[in-house]
This record gives sequence, C-alpha cells and structure tokens, in this order.
Amino acid sequence: MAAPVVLSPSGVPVQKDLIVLQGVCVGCQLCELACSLTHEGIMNPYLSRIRVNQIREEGIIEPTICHHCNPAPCEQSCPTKALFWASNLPGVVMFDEGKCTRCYNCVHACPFGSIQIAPQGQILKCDLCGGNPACVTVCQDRPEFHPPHWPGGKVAALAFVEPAEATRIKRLLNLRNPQK
Amino acid sequence: MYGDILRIDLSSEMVTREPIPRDIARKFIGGEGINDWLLWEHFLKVDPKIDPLSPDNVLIIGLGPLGGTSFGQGSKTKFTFKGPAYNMFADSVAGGVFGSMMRWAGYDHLVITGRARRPVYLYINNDQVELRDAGRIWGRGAKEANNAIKAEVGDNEVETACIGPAGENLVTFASITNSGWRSAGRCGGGAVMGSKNLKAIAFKGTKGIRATDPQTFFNQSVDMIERMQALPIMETWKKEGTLQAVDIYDTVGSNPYKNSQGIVNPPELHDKITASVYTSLLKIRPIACSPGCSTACSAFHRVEGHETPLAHKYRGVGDKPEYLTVASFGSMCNIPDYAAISHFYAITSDYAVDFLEIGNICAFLMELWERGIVTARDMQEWTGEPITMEWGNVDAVDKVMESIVFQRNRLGEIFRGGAFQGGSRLEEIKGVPVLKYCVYGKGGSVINEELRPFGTWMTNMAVSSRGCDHLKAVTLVDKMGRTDISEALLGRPDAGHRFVPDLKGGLSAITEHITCTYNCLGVCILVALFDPINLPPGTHTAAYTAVTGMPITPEEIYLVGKRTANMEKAFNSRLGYARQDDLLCDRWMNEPLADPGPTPAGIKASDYLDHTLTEYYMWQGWDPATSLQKRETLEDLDLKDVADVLAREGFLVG
Repeated sequence: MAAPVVLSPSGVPVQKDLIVLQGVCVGCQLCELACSLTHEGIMNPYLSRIRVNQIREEGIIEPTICHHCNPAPCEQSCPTKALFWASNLPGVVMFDEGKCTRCYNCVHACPFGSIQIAPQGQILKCDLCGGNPACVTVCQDRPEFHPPHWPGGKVAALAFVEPAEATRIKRLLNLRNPQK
Repeated sequence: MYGDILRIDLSSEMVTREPIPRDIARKFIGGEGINDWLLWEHFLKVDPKIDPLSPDNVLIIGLGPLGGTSFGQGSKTKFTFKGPAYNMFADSVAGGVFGSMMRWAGYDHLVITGRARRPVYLYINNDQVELRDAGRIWGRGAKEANNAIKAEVGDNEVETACIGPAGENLVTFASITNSGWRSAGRCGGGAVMGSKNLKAIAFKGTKGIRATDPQTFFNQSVDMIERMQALPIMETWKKEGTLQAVDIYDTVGSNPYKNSQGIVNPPELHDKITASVYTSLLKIRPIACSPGCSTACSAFHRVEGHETPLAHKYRGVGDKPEYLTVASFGSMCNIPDYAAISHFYAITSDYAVDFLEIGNICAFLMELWERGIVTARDMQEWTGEPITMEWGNVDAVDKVMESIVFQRNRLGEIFRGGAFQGGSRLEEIKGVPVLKYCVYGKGGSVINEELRPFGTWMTNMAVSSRGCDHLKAVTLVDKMGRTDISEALLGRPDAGHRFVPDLKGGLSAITEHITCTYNCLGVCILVALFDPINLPPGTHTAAYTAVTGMPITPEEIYLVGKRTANMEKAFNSRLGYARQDDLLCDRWMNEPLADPGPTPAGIKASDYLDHTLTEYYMWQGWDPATSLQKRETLEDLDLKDVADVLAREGFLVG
C-alpha cells in the first residue's frame, strides 16, 4: 500500500494518509453524516463512503475507511475503468458512476470492505473530498486519549496526515496512561 | 427537509401518513413542539381527564429537524403522552439511534392510539409498516427484547424502543428503553405502551435526511462543532459527562444525601463516588449516546471483579451511569460503590423503569427503617422475605425493585404508583405520618437532587409541566453563581446571586423557553445549555433554514420555545392544575437543613418559593394569583385557538 498524494494549497504535492486511530472512535456517526451530506446532499449512513461498525453490547466501535491502495485491487478489478487514478489528485482512486455496470467486482476485490453499496445499488467510493476529507473535519478530539503532558492538538479517531505525523501520533497514543 | 407524521391506531390497525402542515412547522419547529401540538389536537377530540392507561391515551414520538443530522449537538427523541406518573402532561427524552433511524426512514413524528388486542410490536422499514405478534418477547427485559427483535427481523441494524416488565405490569413510572440502553425515563411512558399492548417499536430507515442547502448545512455543522469544542467546559464534559456533578454538588451543597437529609456526601462516600473513580477504574472508552454528537459524554465500561468492594457481584460490561443514577443510589441510599451503581443503571434500563423513582422509594424505606416505622416484620409480611432496609444495602434495593417491577408481592403493589402514592398507602397501613419523610412533588417522585438553597431549581421543579424535575429548564446560574449568564439572559446579574430569591423566577421562565427550543430542534440540551453566552439559541437559525428551506430569525426561534411551554401549561390548565398545585414536599418546604454545609443555616424552600413563583408567572405573562394564562399572552404567541379552548372551559384569565 502506498499513501495518497494530494496537492497542498501552494500546489506542491504532499503525501498524506487517511488513518484510523484504533479504539478512539465514539460511534457518533458524524463522519457518515458529513460524508453523505457533502457527496449526496442527504444525511444518511447508508449513503456514506466511510462506515462506522458497532457492536455496542461489546463496546466495539471501529470505522472502515478507504486506504487508496497502490496497486489498488478495486481499480485493477474494474472492467470498465469506472475506478481510475485521479489525474489532478495523485494517489487517489476515483469513481465515475457513468461508466459503472454494477458488476461489483470492486466490492469483492477490496480486502477491507471499503467499497459500499447504496440502498439503490450504486457504488459508493471515497474520493478524499479532493484532499480535504469532510469525515476528518467533523471527527473530534478525545482528551481521554491524550498522552501525559500532551502539548495540545487533536487526538481523534480519524486523521488526514503525512506519514511522519501518523507515526508520531500512534507512538504517543501508546504512551498514554494505561486505561483498563 | 421535514419528514412525515405517521399515525397508527392499534385498535383498528389503521395506518395513515401525512406531511407536517407548513404553518405548524413554522409555529412549533418539530420535536417537543410538534409533539405538543399533536397532543393538543388529540385531546380536543378526547376528554383530557381520561385515565392515562386507557386506550384513549396517545403516545407521540418525535425528533426535530436537527436530529439525525451532522449538526454536532446529538439527537434526542421526545416521547409525549398524558402521563400516569403524575396524571398530567408528560414527556420524556432519550438518546440512542432509534429516533434518528425514524427520521432516516422518512418520519419526524409517530402518533400511536388505541390498544392492540394482544401484545404486538411495530416494525417500520422505510415505507413498509407492520404490526407483528409480540407473544414471544412479552415478559422479556428491554435489552433482550431489542436483540430478539433484531434476530426475528433478521437485521442487526434495526433500532428499537422497547418496554420491559415494568411497562407490561403497568407500573406508573415505567420507562422506554431506546436501542437497548438509553432511557426515556420520566413520567411513565413505558406504562402507556404497556397499556396499549405495545411491546416495542422497531425502525429501519435507509432514506436519510435531505438538506435543502447541503453546502450551507455542512458549513453550519462545522461551525457548531468548532464552537462546541472551544467551550471551556468541553474537556470535562468529554471525560466525565454528567458524573462531574457529584463533585460540583459536593462543593456547592446539592447532593441528596440519605433521602435528602443532607446536601453534601460525607468524605467516605464522596471518595467512592467521585467521577474519577469511574473514569480510572471502570471506563474503557467514551461513547456518543446518539448520532451527530460531537461531545460524546457517555462511556462503556468493564467490571472485572476487583475494582470495588462489591465488584465481584457485578462482573461484566455495561454503559456509564449518569449523575442522577449516582445521586439516586450512591447519595440517596448511601451506596459507596460504582460497580453496584452501574448495575442499578443497567438493570433499570432492562426492566425499563425510572431509576429516580426506584432510588427515591428505596431511600424513603431506608429512612423509615432507621426511624423504626417500617420494621423487619413489615418487610417479611409484604415480601415474604427477610429484607433489612439498612442504608447502603444493595440487595435490598434489588429486592424492592423486583417487587415493584414484577408486581410480585404486597410491597410492589403498595409502590406501583411511586413514592408518594406508596407513602400515602403506608400512612393508612401504619397509622402514623410518613409523608414528611418522602421527597416528592405533584404526586410523584422528584429528581434526586437538593434544591432548598437554590431558588431557580426549586422554581423549575415546582412549575415543571411534566411533574417535578429540573429538565424543563436546566440552568446552573444560581448554583454556580454565574452572574455573567444572568446578565446576558436577563439584563441584570441578580439571578447569579446565591441564596436570595431575586430574579430566580425570571431565570426559570427564560431558561424554560430556551430549553424548549432545543427540544423542538431535536438536539441535546446538555453542554450547550450550560453556556448560553457562547451558544445562544439563535446559533441554530442558519442550520435550521439550510436543512428545512424555511427561514427563521433568532427572535422567532426563541418564541417557538415560549409557545411550546405555553402549550404544555394549557394542557395542564384543562386538567384543573393551577398555582395551588405548584408545590414541593414538606421536607423541602419546611425542614431546614440539619447540616447546611456550604449554604446558609436554616434555609428552606418556603423562604423563597412564594416570591419566585409570582415572579415566574409574571415573566411568563400568566396571572400571578392563579397562574392561569392570559388571552393577551396566548394571542401574542399566535395561539388564539388555544386561548379560545381555555376560555370556553373557564381556564383563561382576561
């Protein structure tokens, strides 16, 4: 897997990843609602590219995101090029509904279950919102998970960060006071 | 955009669906407001004096236009009905995903009338509405029923509102449990469902909520989420949620120690029920109780058995108890053990019974036991078991709860109508006065929290349209001495001055309107209502317009809250309730605190209440002598039709 590359405001390509910090999600579904709102104009978890999986009785909550793999099994499996590498956003696998035959090869090819099928049958595929993911914007800081002497900054279930920053957050998260 | 109103008559099995009339949406916004309008309309056709457990009662469920959205303040579902707990207007709110699923299926309101011939549950999958046989799940707890319905429907994503044995057995303070864990606890909605032979309502909705202007709504959501995150109180809310009140109240003197005989937990109790004990020993992870909440003040915990002295009895996983659970069992019953308190929270959700009333009854019996009024012989006679009602006896709490919930014995039957009715029965049985030891209001229990030193709280509790609790007008202005908030809301600092009656009635009235506004919009009142300076209700107008396409001003949105409060008042007026009924119990009115702690010596509610009530009615524009509404006030709120009904029945002044 390689990380998506997005363009920074100055036009310089920056490598950033959409990542999930395990165990931090609170299950508020804001990511699903923001995703479906910004893509479909409707707030509906069933129209969201990101999904929050919950087994509430066991306290299990984890989001499923698209990793924009490279090579991307979904892109490789698509017979009609409905899934393709974005030309203006290097590293992002995009989806063109007009070319989709609904063969669902991509759904089967994705090892993470990251390609969703809407109630009406269309494919829902993360496009990283052009480099500013709405799901990350609404995902909020959890002070419970701040490591000791945390200098500030968001520790949220979702982050869209450069690889070095992803490593730093994950390292620090492991330092927090051991909870149960 | 708005969803529809779905009407289901359980007697005739007729189902009808209609859009919300545009003028009603404009007047009442949604949630609590439109629920109140639907209730009012129902009781123009049906005598409002009916027994709340008769088939003629109605159960209305509603979630406002910002519920189930990305707005960032959560989604709180209102259940509205004539309540069996206080025999007056009633509503109760709950988190969970149930109400959002209802909106995602295309409905904002559900109106349930009649009585099914045999136990049923309602299954609504988008446009498909089915009444299904509930024979196999009747008798089960709400959590088990929730799982059984998911299994029967074959869909784990169905969201339910279920009753448990308390509702089936018509315990008048039975609750409704959403999504298996969040309760609409107050006022006895569970008994109304039980009386209708309605075990549960299950929703699956995959249509979602369309925003008229998605880009603006998204921007407004991000703006609100960022404002919420910037609140100074936010970090503590995320970490501790309502449990922080244990500590705050021990500082200001507002915990109901041993059946409200004291107002501060003694150190040996405080140290065991302070919030950090829960967060460090039991909490595993924070959880949002409802969709779209950027605070997420709930949590999930595990009890392994070694954490507290009683933990070995209550091993397992569960959800975080709220402050009032800690108050009801920790403070009221003197139980210094979070594992036990968490157990009571879980079991009352499963039996679907109001833990406030259970905690209140148990603490009342414990005080009567200490005073020698209720004896070992009584308990043996009433339950068939040797139960000792010593302070802190957790097993006794379980036994009393089971007696009531399952209507298993004489004790359960005595307390089927709650602490006050049980106390009245005990006075007949024992031949001595006991109600002076009962903490009650308007014929039911109260929230288990001290109010004697706090003028706003005593006013809120006395005038509450749904009985006797604080949630109709939540504010910590006088408890926390927040003169700045008083200044912002009322133009004067006086409501923030503690231990004097000034402006406490005014603050109650204004806060009630703001609280109603939040409940009309379908968002959570917690967090936001505690900082009305940074989050005034006008903050919602752009988002409301972006999602519904209907313009509204901050002034209008406030008036919707005021209008809603007046609908509830009018409903109660039609039942004959007036100023003489806005009363508190003898303990609060007349008993000065033996140990006033951080509050002035000798303080009691009767020192202020008369003054604050008069002020409250004046600020509402009601007649201070009778508390009845005036034509002028109602017509200013575009409620001439309501004024006409009250005039015809003799409950209008002027």
